[in-house]
Amino acid sequence: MSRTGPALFAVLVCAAIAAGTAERGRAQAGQGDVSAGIEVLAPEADLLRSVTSVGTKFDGADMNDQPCTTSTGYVDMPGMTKNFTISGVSGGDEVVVLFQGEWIGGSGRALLRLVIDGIVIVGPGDDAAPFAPHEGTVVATTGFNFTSPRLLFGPHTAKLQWATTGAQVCVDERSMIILHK
Amino acid sequence: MSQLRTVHVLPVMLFVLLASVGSVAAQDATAPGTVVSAPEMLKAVTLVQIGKADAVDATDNPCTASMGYVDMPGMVKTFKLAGTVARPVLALFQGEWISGSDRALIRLVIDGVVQSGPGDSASPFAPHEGSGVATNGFNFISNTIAPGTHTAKIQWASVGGGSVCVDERSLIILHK
Repeated sequence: MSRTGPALFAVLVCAAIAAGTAERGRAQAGQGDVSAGIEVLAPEADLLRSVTSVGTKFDGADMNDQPCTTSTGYVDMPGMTKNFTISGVSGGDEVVVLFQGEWIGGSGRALLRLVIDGIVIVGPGDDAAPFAPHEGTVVATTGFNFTSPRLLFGPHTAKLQWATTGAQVCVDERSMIILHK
Repeated sequence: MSQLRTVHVLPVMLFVLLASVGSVAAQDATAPGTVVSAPEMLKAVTLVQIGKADAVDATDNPCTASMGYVDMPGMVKTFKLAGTVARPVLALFQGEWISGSDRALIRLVIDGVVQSGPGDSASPFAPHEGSGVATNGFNFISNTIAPGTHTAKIQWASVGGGSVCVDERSLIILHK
């Protein structure tokens, strides 16, 4: 984790400039909205993101209601929204978001993605890399450990969004944990 | 470094009480539609300091058919919470479930106390069921605990009394 504020600021400025020429041009996190405090990255084909020494604090929440969705478009998973503040004066840092949930009842294939400050985070879960943490009627806990691009120091809001590829999907006990500076 | 600023543990007192009297997985409380506590956030924590990890893993193949919670072999770890302020810790568990055919339950216990939230008697959950092999677990947020030495363990049970088995597994405690 860099502690050199000026250098980090320069990186962020360069990243902001790079936003204008980002090849993929998708309106997703890490791909262009520096104003939201998310650094622009150009993910490699395989290694989407590599982060180091992230986090000395955590924010977290858990739930035990039993929401279901039949939406094929991503919607917020109830209760899995959390505000957090990254400490620091200038620059930013990555965060790690851990999610686990007990999938119950549904028969569809669930999809999951991480949204920070209203922007879909690039990498597993985005439009280029959708993934299913669960499908079918078998009860099981599954989830994903997400990494974010660099976020500016200050307050942010992270949320898990979910969808189904067809039939209903349901979740019960679940937790969302954000590891950050 | 910031101190623990706020900890919102909404129904902790209720859950601790319930956990203390409901240690047996006597029925399939994980089934969809089963009445559980009110659909509200069980626990929300903010700016909890971590920075250390204590962990253990195991590769033997224990099974249980116990309908009451028992210690999962090897999944116990002593850790020392630093500082002067009480705070929660994170307990990350993942295990490869093999061979069994029943529905497994797990919960987090620290210093002999079932931790409130997912896994307690108000919110039992099943990380795995059936004969399919898969790695499943949970990321637990503990109750607020005092600085000092503590012991965390994962306990498991079988909903129906049939065998459930686990193989490769790890328990990681993240704390200050």
